[in-house]
Amino acid sequence: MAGETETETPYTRDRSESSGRLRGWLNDRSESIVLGYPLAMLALFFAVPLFLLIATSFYPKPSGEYYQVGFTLEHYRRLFTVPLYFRRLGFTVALSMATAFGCLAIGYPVAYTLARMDSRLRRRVYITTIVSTMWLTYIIRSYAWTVILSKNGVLNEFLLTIGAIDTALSLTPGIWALAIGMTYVFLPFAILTLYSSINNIDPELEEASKNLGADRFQTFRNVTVPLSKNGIYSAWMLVFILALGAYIVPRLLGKPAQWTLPVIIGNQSLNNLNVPFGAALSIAMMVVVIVILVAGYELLGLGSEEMAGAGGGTDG
Amino acid sequence: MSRIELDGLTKVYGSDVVAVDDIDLTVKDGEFVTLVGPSGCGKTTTLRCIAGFETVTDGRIAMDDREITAEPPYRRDVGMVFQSFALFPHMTVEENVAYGMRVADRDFSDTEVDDRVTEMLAMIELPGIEERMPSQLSGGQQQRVALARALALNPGALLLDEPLASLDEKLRKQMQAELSRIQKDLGVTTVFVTHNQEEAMTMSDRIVVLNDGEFEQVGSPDTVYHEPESIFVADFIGKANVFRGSVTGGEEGVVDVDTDTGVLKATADDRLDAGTDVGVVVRPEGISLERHETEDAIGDGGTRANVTAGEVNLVQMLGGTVEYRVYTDAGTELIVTTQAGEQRATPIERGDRVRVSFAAERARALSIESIVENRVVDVRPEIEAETGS
Amino acid sequence: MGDDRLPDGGTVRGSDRERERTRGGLLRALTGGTVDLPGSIARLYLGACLAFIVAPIAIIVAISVTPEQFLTFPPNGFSLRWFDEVLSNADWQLALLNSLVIAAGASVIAASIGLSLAFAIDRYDVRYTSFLRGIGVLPILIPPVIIGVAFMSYFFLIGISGTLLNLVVAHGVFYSPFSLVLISTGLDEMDRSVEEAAMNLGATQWQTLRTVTFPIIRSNVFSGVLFAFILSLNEYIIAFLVSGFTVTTVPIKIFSSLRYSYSPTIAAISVLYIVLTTAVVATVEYYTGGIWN
Ligand SMILES: Nc1ncnc2c1ncn2[C@@H]1O[C@H](COP(=O)(O)OP(=O)(O)OP(=O)(O)O)[C@@H](O)[C@H]1O
Ligand SMILES: [Mg+2]
Repeated sequence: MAGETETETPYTRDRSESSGRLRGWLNDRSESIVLGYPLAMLALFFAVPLFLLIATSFYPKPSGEYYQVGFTLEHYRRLFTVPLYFRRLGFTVALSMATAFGCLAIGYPVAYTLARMDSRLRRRVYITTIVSTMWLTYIIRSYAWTVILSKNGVLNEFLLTIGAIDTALSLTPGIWALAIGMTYVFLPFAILTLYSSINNIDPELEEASKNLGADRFQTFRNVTVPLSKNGIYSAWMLVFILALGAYIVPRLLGKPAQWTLPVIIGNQSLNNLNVPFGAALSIAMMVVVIVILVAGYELLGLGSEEMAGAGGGTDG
Repeated sequence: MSRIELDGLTKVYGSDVVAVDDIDLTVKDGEFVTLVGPSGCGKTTTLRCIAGFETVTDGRIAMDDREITAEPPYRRDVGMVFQSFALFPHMTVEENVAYGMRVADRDFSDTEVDDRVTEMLAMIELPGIEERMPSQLSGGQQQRVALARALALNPGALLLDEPLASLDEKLRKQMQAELSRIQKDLGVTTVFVTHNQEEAMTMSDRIVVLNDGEFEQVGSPDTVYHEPESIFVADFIGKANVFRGSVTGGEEGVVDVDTDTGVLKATADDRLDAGTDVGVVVRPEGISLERHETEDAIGDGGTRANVTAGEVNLVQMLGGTVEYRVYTDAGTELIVTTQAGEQRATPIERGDRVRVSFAAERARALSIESIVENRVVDVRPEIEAETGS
Repeated sequence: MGDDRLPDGGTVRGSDRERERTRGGLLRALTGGTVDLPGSIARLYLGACLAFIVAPIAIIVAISVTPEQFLTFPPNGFSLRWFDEVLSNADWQLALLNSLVIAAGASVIAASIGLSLAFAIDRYDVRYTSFLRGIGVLPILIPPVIIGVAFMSYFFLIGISGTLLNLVVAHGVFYSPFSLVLISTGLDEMDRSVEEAAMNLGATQWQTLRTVTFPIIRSNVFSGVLFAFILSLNEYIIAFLVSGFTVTTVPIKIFSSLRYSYSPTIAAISVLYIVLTTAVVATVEYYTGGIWN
């Protein structure tokens, strides 16, 4: 090598200035393109429709037409004066909270066991299974529970066969079917969020606790749970938000009296063709969601990505 | 190989973080220059300006006679080794080393590329690892591959940003030697950044001591060590004892300085007027120790300059030298080193009373004005520990 | 479940002390002290939950291979006639084709939005980065029915509604947050000096992007695409509101079929969907080495 440096070696860069004007132009303009494209898409197909939705909620609704451009507070008046809608909102929130607590209660031990599992392969198989069911459309998953819980369904057949009941129970649609269905479809979200949080806890901290004389339960209560606090908040929040927006599960597994606000919104917009009122209901619901998100952000310090991060699937 | 010229180079981040402040430096063809300085003094920024990763705020950069201040990084003829090595994790060693040839405007034939990769791997003494992935290499091996990759295209200059910082002590020593060998063999102009002043001393042709974005001193390792131009440099490069005081008089390059330890005689390059605040800097090996049994003041009536008495606080064997910490009667702590081989009738031990003296030629009086506040000067062990070898 | 013990299954230091403290000494005495009670409870519980998660789907699979017209369980025999019926039925074929086309288009749109926004946030000195991130993630936080109603009236207003393209755009925008989050994570985790190294070796910005940046974040980009694909495939309410009754996708068709009957054909198409979904999820898991691990 020493001698070679003196002679002409072929291994140098050819630093010609010919890299092209277009490329330079692209570099200068690239910022506006790279940032402009997604913002344009989000503006055009997200922000504008949402603002339009706000506008629509003020449009009059003459019978026989979708809506008419104009201004009326009629829909909001209806929203505030007809008690049905507030009751529905209350029911939706209560159901979503119950679902969130249910998913936490069932999901935490599962997440803990998965996170502390020795066999990597087994763990991956379990997680892939859970994730796969999570992404499967809510229709199919609700349908499965219909099959299980319906009058001539699997459960009734089993109970009749063993003689536990004489006449078939009518479980679906109904509040129990709805509760089971909601917990079932959102459980995977809770498990995965909790799992990644527990997985980040150094097992040595638990060992240290035991080394200091704490038993298994004390360790769990004093070390594991506090350290996964953020995971618990995120999981609860995620399930709560998803459950608020649930449409299919209440629609398929609940009686009409148990239909949640999204079902009402869908019905108003499609079946009654009252888009303005559907829009007003949507705005009301969005206010609730935003208040909850902001509360989650302010009180619990959850970022938008944490809440969406576990992969907020949607009941749609 | 090329000469690098920095002319008034200035880099300001945002509106007020002056990382590099108007520096001038010419790195000669084939020279090995090391930038040292405390954390945040602008070493990395200087390298990144040369490599083209930062747009300079002011000044110009040239290689040989070609100005490259505004060139994008890919049109500059400099190779760089990153502290994190920055090997492409998705490519084999071979693909890493060949990368520069693959993306070059010129077409290299496959045989040319293969030959060059083989040659480079032979140079770093890791033949046959072409097919490994970076994750399958040890730290030292990754380090060498990063070097091979940077040198594969025969760059005009090589920039290294703390390349040895993540290696353990032994490997670092080994890589220092390796790097020096390769650099000398190729004769490649090199700018090296390190935190480790010992590394700077052993490897460089010239050392640049940076402080707060500005040069404190530029010179050979020997000059910077023995003739520091500021207390900052004295303190940063090697260990130093500093006595604060003010000039009371003197003649011909030797001044008298009134300190807590008494009047000290020290050499001074510049004219220092009476009344100037100075620090008298003495290297630990410039001081001699003698046993001094009595409790009274110095034997010959205090007439000799640069003599004081104290008690030994700590004795440490450091390889070839012995280091003593002496707590003087005037209340300062001094570091003194002697060669381990130096025989004494009875060895000096902790708790012994000693007489401390040094010749005026071993002491330098340096004006305190230039010193940045927080680096001054009340030399306590903490500061030495931080800069010590 | 042999080896999935809790990590403290009697192997950690201090376990003797722990054993003394653990209640259930009677049971331990009865069983000779070999049973790790909390461990087996944990395993039982995990098993029960996994059964709860998998059983309904297993039942659908069982129904889909039932030879009879009406739902019976357990099935009296095995037959693929319902799969045959679904796959040879022109309506189901069209629905399936629509679903696949929409999902493909939507995943391209979602990925392009997510990719470019993630890059812009990461690369350029844009201000308000957390604001932009928030905007990018927002679609997924809004209940889909609201998005659906908004799109419905918007498309109605601009006079283009009820086409495949409407669904493609709606799904694409709605699912873009997944790409954004995944690609942002990839870029955050990438060692930036690797790109500088490429440029230092003479690669232009474009070459660096192509040969270094993209290969490193490739699995994140693919995961984003696959997520959008699978979610779009399974989306119902937005699709239904935007379709204006003219475009039929598989979920829409399943839903409307459920109103009239519980024919096993629904189970059969569901099984196809289950297989497709599981395959895509397994691919993502394989590519990313397990996003959740
Ligand atoms: N991208 C940046 N934006 C703003 N300030 C910066 C940036 N990079 C560096 N700085 C600031 O510039 C100054 C010099 O930084 P530089 O990285 O050059 O220091 P350094 O000498 O390499 O330090 P170290 O020894 O810790 O690596 C520091 O004050 C640093 O905080
Ligand atoms: Mg640095």
